[in-house]
Amino acid sequence: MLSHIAKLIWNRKRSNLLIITEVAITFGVLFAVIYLGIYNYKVFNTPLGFEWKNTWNIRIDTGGRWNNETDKVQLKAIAEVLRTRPEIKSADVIMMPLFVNGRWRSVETINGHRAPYKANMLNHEAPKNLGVELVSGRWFGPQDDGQNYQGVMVNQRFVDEFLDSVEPVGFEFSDPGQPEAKPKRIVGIFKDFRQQGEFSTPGPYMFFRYNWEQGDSFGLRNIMLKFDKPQPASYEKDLHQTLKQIAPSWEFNIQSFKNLRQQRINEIVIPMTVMAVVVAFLLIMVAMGLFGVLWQNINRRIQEIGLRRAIGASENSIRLQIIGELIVLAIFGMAAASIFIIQVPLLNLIEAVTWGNFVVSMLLSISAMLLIVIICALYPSHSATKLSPAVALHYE
Amino acid sequence: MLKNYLLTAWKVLLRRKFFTFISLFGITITLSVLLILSTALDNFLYPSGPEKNNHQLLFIEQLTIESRDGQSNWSSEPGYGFLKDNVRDLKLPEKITFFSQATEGSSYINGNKIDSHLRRTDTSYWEILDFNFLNGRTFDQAEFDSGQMVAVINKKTQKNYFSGENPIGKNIIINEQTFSVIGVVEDVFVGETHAYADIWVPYTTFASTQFETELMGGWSALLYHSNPSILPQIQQEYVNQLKNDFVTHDPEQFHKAIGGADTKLERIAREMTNTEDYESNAASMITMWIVLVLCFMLLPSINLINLNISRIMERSSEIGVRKAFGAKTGQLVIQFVVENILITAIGGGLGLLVSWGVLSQIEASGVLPGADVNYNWRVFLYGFGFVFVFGLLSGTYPALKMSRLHPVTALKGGVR
Repeated sequence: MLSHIAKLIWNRKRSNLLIITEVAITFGVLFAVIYLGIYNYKVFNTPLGFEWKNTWNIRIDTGGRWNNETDKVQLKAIAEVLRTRPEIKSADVIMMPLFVNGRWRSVETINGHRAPYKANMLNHEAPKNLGVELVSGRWFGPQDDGQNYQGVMVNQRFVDEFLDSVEPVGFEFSDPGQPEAKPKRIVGIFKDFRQQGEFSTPGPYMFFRYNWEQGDSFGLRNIMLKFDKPQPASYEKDLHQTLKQIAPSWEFNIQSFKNLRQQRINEIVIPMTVMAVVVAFLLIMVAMGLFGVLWQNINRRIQEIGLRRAIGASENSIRLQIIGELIVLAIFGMAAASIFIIQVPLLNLIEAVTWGNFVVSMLLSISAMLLIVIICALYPSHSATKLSPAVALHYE
Repeated sequence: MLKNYLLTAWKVLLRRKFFTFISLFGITITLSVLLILSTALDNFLYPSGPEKNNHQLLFIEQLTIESRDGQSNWSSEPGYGFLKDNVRDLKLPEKITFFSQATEGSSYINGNKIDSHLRRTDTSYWEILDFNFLNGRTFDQAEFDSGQMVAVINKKTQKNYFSGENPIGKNIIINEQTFSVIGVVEDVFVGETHAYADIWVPYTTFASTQFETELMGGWSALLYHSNPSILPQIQQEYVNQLKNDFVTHDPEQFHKAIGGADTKLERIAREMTNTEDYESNAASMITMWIVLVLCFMLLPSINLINLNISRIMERSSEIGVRKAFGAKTGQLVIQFVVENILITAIGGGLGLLVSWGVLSQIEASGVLPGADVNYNWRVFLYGFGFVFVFGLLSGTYPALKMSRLHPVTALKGGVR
């Protein structure tokens, strides 16, 4: 049956080539959208690793470069004043703020392999206050001061990806390019910290510790305030005034993480929705086009169908033939498109594409494509079976 | 002749309404998407607000600096210090302005927070950009020099902060700095990236003066010349300045500066292609756009080609007759392409309506602050261009295929 259909299609290859091309392109577009959808859904539901509720971010603009000598003192003074307020549960500083596009990337060499990761710098109380979960080892803290190493913490993904064969806690990295610098030592492992929000790609992460006394040459410009309950805008005004009194030459921008998170989500969801709408219309267009082409083709093959009916083919076998032909066409198209699509995970063209997601979205897009094709073929195949053999043979 | 073609085409369209609907649906969707994109781009390139004279302007808003050893480089907007030392003394521009990027400003009124965008400017900013003042005036040189706390606000801020009452002479508190309002301007579209803000104040009102020596970060400059044909010479002067006379206070770290004074198109090109060079790479961006548009048209075109091919066969007896009476292949091809362009044009008209509807919805929704979509002759030109290209793409192959039919087979009712 199938080989027969394949032969029929081959005999009309020139006119079928265009339909195959159309199916192939549509399949490519469909696959891309389904893949993106699955990927973003999974990533969105991966735990952030921290709590953002009732937490505000104060971004500082110092008006120029960070002057560590004076600015670290001012930053510490602000944090100390804020911590004395009863409604503030904690006040911490962080280098790369949460729910923004900015990130700090770095790389280590572990056993001769490159180990790229994202990093952040915060004071030692900050992870606990943000609800980051400790997996093993201990939090870094003042006990790491004055040691012959620099205490850092990494997330579980870092361990899984780069350190699965060694004991991670106590592992030291040294930079052969800078032999005089202290080696970094992992003192603890935390669950996760997805600083850029729900839609960011989960990956290895490292915490460096901010020491209030030493400061940092690049500077930390974000203060995170955790409250016991939601605060009104009037509180924000009061807070702004307090900040200005301590540091009149600095500018402050106060945002709740709730707002920042929503903005970040919208940045991804709105373009995705627009794209999905355009693709939906494209699919409707293709489906209607296929439907039209098929209908027209049936009309042209009336004689052939009439002949088959006259020599005793049942309605069902006619219907099967029509639908089968289109399915085989679709399979050709999808196979052609898959040759290109499979290069992406094979050659690792896009880092975020994994085999698991790939297979699932492949199956989903194949089913969706077949469904579209079958729906398109239903009516034309039905009308073909309704032809009475006598009329069909009389055509012309 | 053409009239005959069009008449035939019209009759054919009316004959099989369902097929006409399918074709029109595809064409309309495709052309709507393209028209929405091109109208948005057109409004961005040729704004109708304060930047409407941007053919006389050059923008300096991106700079890359390199250390002497070539190991490190930084890229961002220039800083005030850079502009003061390297841009202020350019000879060719008639006017030069420096201003800060729009930063967030918070105000609190009756227990509510109002977020606005605050921009700090000099006085020539107001001469170069053509703001539409609804009330009051901008600050003058004396107010600027003495660092007077005065502000120009837009209509939206007037509504939010003063509930629409006349704000002139009243105070507004932004980031805990108090300004006296001296002017109100019409809202500016966010796409006019250098004019856009909610509140404009003199940059002499900065709380700290640290910004004056910064080489990188947070500032932009506009160069103005009344004669647009001088602009390439100004670009050259700026690049020469960077190449030969770059002024830096820390030559070890900040040894070499790379950047350009761009027109609006070049500015987008620099951003989209991530170019860190003296040239902006506009040509490669335009090529990229054309390729993308053609890619987007590909699927709808193939769809339409398929439909067209199957529809021709319906008309094979007509073709047979025409051929039998001596019509040439070329004539038939032209006839069919004209028919196809006609239906594409109808789809284009519908697409124009759809895109107008979508864009006015976006405008009304307030997603893009200050958006005011304009339709002008250029949008229609783009529309004609798309219709023509799309019509040719989807009409030529079926037309060729049709015209090659042998008259005898055609008369008998087509081929298999």
